[in-house]
Amino acid sequence: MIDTIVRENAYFDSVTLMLISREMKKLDGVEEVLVGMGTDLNLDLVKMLEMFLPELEKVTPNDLFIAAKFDESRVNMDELIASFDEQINKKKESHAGDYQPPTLRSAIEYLPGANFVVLSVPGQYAADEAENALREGLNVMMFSDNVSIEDELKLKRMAVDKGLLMMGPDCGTAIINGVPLCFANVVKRGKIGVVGASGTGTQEVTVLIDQLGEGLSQVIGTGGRDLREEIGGLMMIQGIEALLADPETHVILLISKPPAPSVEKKIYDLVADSPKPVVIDFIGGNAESVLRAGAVPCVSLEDAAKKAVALLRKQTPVDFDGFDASEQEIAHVVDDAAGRLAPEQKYLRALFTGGTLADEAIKYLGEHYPIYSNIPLTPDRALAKLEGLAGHLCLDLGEDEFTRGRPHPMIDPMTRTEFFESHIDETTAVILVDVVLGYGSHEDPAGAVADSVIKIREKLASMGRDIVAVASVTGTDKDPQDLKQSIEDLEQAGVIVMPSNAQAVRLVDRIMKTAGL
Amino acid sequence: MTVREKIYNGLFIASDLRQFLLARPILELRVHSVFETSVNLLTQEEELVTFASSGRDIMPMGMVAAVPGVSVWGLRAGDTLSSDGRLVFNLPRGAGSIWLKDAHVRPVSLTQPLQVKCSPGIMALDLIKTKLLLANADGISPLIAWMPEGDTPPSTRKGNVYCTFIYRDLELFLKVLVSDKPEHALDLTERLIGFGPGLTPSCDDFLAGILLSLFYDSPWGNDANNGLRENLERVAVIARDRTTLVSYHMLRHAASGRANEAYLELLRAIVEDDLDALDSLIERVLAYGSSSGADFLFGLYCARKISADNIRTSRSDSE
Repeated sequence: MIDTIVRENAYFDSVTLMLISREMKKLDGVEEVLVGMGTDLNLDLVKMLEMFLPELEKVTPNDLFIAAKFDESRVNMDELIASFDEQINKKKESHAGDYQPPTLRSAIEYLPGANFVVLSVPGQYAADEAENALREGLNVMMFSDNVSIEDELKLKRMAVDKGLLMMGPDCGTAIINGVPLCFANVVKRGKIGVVGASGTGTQEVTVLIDQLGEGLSQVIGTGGRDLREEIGGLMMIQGIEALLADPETHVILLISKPPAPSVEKKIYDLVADSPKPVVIDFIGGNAESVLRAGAVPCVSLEDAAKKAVALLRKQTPVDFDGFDASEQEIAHVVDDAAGRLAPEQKYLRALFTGGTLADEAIKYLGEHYPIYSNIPLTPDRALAKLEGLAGHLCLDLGEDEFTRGRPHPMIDPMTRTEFFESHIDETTAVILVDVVLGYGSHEDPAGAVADSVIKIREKLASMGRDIVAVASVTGTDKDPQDLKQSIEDLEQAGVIVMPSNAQAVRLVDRIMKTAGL
Repeated sequence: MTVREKIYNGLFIASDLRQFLLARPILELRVHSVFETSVNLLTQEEELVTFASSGRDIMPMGMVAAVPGVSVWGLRAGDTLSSDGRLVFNLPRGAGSIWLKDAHVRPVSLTQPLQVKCSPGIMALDLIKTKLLLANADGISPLIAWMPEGDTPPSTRKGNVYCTFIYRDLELFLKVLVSDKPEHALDLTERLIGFGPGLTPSCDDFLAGILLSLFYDSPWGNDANNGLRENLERVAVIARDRTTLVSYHMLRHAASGRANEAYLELLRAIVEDDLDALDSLIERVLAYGSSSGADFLFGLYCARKISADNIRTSRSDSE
């Protein structure tokens, strides 16, 4: 049976028309439905589908038509029309109230009194927008990168003059007054203030502080170049001063790669006069200099979190370079893992989405093993020197060479999934990965890793082999993703899940040593 | 006690609309169609004007107001809005007034020349193709798997009923577009305009992408085919009675280099090989309608792909 109806001068948006068409096609007995505007070519299509009836001869391009082919023993045209009307009348859930200001000016007008702006625009426009924001008296978090160092210096000087924050460029993590911004986790509010020049390093530390039962007052990002000679640590210093003045902050924690010597001196001079305890993790930096400044040095991001919590609780901070689990348990896990490897399985594949976590791994493992990387410890371990991948590999997949033209792997895990398929084979012994939860991250990064591990284990099983996979999950039980489920998914896939990146790295070291890699 | 009239402020007004309104102090707009986030209005000259709620991109002859949805204005098809000559429109039934006096003027055409990069944007085009294939939208964009260069036999074609129907005509159109008489392709739009699902049928969205690219590109990377650009408006003439009113106006604007903000930004990002901006712009455009954004993107892709191929060919010829 073929039938048709026409609604003259009826206008519905495209989404509504498509939804109606789909719903009508679902009705039992319906073979084909076309819902469209009455243009000549659309009517030609109706003819081609042998659904044309004389009623359609007079329709105009501004009339809506429905043409249907159906089994009249199971459905009739009245029911089709009723379905159409039901869909039209259904109140659609609308997001029209979520106003997205297209310009900074309109945002300021729309929200008078706002004092903070997050900028995420292409690099070439970012500096101008930030300058406009600073002129308006707004604190700035600049997620954008590809901003020149000259512009960064100019903007940060301007911010310092006005007593404002200019976080970035390339600042991915901050928590201001309890509000997580960009890539950040949902953590408790508390008394530890953080200034961080590294995104995932800051995430790892804040998450661990939360898991240890304490909270964060403010988490200020600086952008990765802030502690270079050219910028002079302007925002690190501004951040420290802000936390010193903040009555809610009792302990200050600084995270960065080692600063330029002149910047380091400025920071240590400021820290030396601090009435509040300061913990410093300049990853891979000189602990003696930190001690001389009267601050507390750290051996890892996890150690930094534990020491900040200890200081807050008026306890003596001590180095933590072990495991939460007992030595007996760790020995059992290590022996079991090493025992599963065949002699031909020789190599580490560490695939990180978080830059600082990758940095922490390579600085620890790179001391003991020749590891090739896009962030190598020494130039002779640069990725380009690695031919045929016959060696250990540790990659920061968030670096430009892997993200050009595609999303960051924390947003879209596809880049790492592809590496699992292309770079993990029967010669791989150990896989080390990070799983970063929180705002900004993929909805299920653990699921993506678990799927990849299951696939590679199935592939190797057909060759009579297995593989060792170790992960840490940076996340809290309040994050948008499900922390508990993430850990369960990984463990069900056979992944050993450690409580921190540092412990995951140490465990991998123990397994590699035991397996003689 | 005085009852204060409800005033709705315009946040943005398209430069062409502002110019149009200022030239006509007294004006009546008739409500043509009402959607959730926009109202289309017609002037007596049959010019289409769009009043939209916040969150929408500014469009040619349009304005965006600080309201969450247009239902607050209570407009119905056939209603009339009168202007008092001061960029203020009175709503019917005492619902208040819409003030455009302080709305920020936004361009709806590119005001800066495009900075064409040495590289013809191959990575940008690859990204668009990947995203469109993944989107697998309902209109004609799935044909990107075979177009513009494809010569795949019909038996191996996939896609929906619209793709199957239009494949040959679209193929011919693109073939003529790359020939030495590309302006003849404009006449072939008769076999495309008005076809496909949606209020702006798929082929119209596709053609809008082609027209916009042609308008801003020295045709196909050289100056030999300027006849093509000069005749783009022929498409609008053909479209007049062959498609919906809304779609006709979209094509007319595109033939003159006017389009909504996101479409223009996307064109700029492709031509200038701005991969950082491209990703989010593609997502923004893909969110238009059920398939409108995807079909527009498909048109833009074909035009830019042909242009890129021509640039490469002319370079290798000169070598």
